Parts: sequence; C-alpha cells; structure tokens
Amino acid sequence: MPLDAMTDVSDEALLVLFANGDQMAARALTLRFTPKVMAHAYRLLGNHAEAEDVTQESMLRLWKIAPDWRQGEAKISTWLYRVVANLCTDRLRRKPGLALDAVPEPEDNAPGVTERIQDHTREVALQKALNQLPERQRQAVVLRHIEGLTNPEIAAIMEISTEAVESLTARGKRTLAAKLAGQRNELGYSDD
Amino acid sequence: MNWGIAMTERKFDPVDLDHLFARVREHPAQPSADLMKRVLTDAYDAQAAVTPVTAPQLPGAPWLLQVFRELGGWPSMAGLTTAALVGVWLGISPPDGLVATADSFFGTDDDAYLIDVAPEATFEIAEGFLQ
Repeated sequence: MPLDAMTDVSDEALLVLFANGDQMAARALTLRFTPKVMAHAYRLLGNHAEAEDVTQESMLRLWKIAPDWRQGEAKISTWLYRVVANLCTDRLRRKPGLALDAVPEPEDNAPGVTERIQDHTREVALQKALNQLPERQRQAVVLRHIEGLTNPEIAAIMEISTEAVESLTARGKRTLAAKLAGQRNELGYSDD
Repeated sequence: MNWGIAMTERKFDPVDLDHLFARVREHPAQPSADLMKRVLTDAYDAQAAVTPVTAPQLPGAPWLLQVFRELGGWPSMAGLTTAALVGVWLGISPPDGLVATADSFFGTDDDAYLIDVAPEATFEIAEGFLQ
C-alpha cells in the first residue's frame, strides 16, 4: 500500500483522523506537509540544517495542536506557513550571521553543464539577495513569487491587509532587483 | 508608443527576476529521509500521548476487570448503581399508588387462595369425602 493512500481526504479530515490515533493519517499528513514546510523554511533561512530543524519543530506543533484544532477557522497550510515564519524569525534573531549553505555545483562532465552552472549561480545569488531583505519583505516575496500564493492568502498568513502585502512584495522585488543588478554580468545576463 | 514603459521596466528589473523565481520554484529544497522519519516518529509519539491506551489487567482479577470493561467501564457502572439504589429505595418506601399498580399486574396475596388447583376435588368436597 502506498504511504499516502489518502489523497482524496481533505487536510482537516486527516487532522481529525490523526487526533483519533489513525497512523495512516499521520503518514499522509507527514508526506503532504513536510516537503512544503521544508521548502519554505529553506527559502527563509538559506540553510538546510536549520531549515530541517524548523520543519521538525513546525510539524511537531501541528501534531500537538491536532486534538484542539478548530475546524473551519484556518487552513492547515496557512497556519503552518505562519509557524514556519515565526520560527525562522526567532532563529535569524538568535543567529544574525546564519551561514548560507554551500550548494555543490554540477559536475563538469555532465551534459548541458554550462547552463546548469549558470542556473545554479543565479539561484545562489537569489538566495543571498533574499537573505539580505528585511524579514517581512522576504516572507512576502517568497510566499508570492516562490510559493505562488495569492495576495489574500499571504495576507491571511502574515495577518496584514492585501494592500500591505502588495507593498511588501513590490518593495522586496525592487530591492532584490537592485541587489542583483550589480552582478548582472556574473549571472550571465547580457544587454540584448 | 510604449518605449517609456519598456525602459522603466528594464531599469527596475535588469535581471530576469521572474525567471529566477521560476527556477527556484522548480527546485525546492527537499526534506531528507531522516527528517521524514523524525517527523513521523514525532507524529506517532504525539498520538500515543493523547490516545487513551488500554490499562494493564490487574493480577488476580482479570475476569472481573473484563466484565467491568465489557459493561462499559465507570460510566456504565454509575448508571447501574443509580438504578440499583432507586430499586432499593422504591422497595423501602414505595410512593402512593405504586402498590396498587403492582397488584393490578401481579395480583394480591388473596388472589393466590382463589386459584383452583384441583377442580376435580370440588365434587369430593360437595359429597363430603373431603373436609
């Protein structure tokens, strides 16, 4: 039987099953949310080990709140994004000089290596630039442009108005562009 | 003519941010197998902490404990005890009308003497064979 054999079951229903001791629901929720939480934590921190710690802690909080979860009040994903952001903020404040991961570059003899090295360089540059943004701007930009959420969804996660979300993402994007502009040639962007 | 707009966008976004975002979106950081295992272990531990577990049987009285559980545990015991106490109370101090109602269903002591258990004896009594 596949690990997540409950693809048709809603997130909230799974959480109810989980709270009633259903181990299949535990597996399904783990598979459904852990990758999302991990990806988001990594984009906010830029450090794999720290992101894993935040992911485990976020999921642990979900398990603990499951018996008291109030149906219909918030989506589980919205709640988790909020928890991840808070935990990342705590870590960044405790460790302001948190080191970015040294991501291994593609091997030289692989096909299409030039393009992949260039993509890799750009990705690293974007992560570095993201890490230099103010926390709220970074969170808004990551949620909007990397997670692909809508402004109302982001507003619910960040507990601000949609206008404030628009302002944060616009400012964040402008700052990112300015920070990356100086590396235009290194990132392989020509004037054409 | 949209040269002005194009030039403004170019100045604002000299690198292709949308392309960069798309690249990053395509390659999200993946949780390791070890992390998935830790998260699942936490999940099971949390379930064990909140899910009522079956209490171990008391040595020496397993059948009694089993009966107790089969009957539904303490909630059922409370109901049964209440019912028993009400029964005892009704026996000691029956409310008005209860005895008459019960008699109409079950009969009285006098009724027991009216039951003719040997109809053939009627003739013998009539003829003086039986006193």
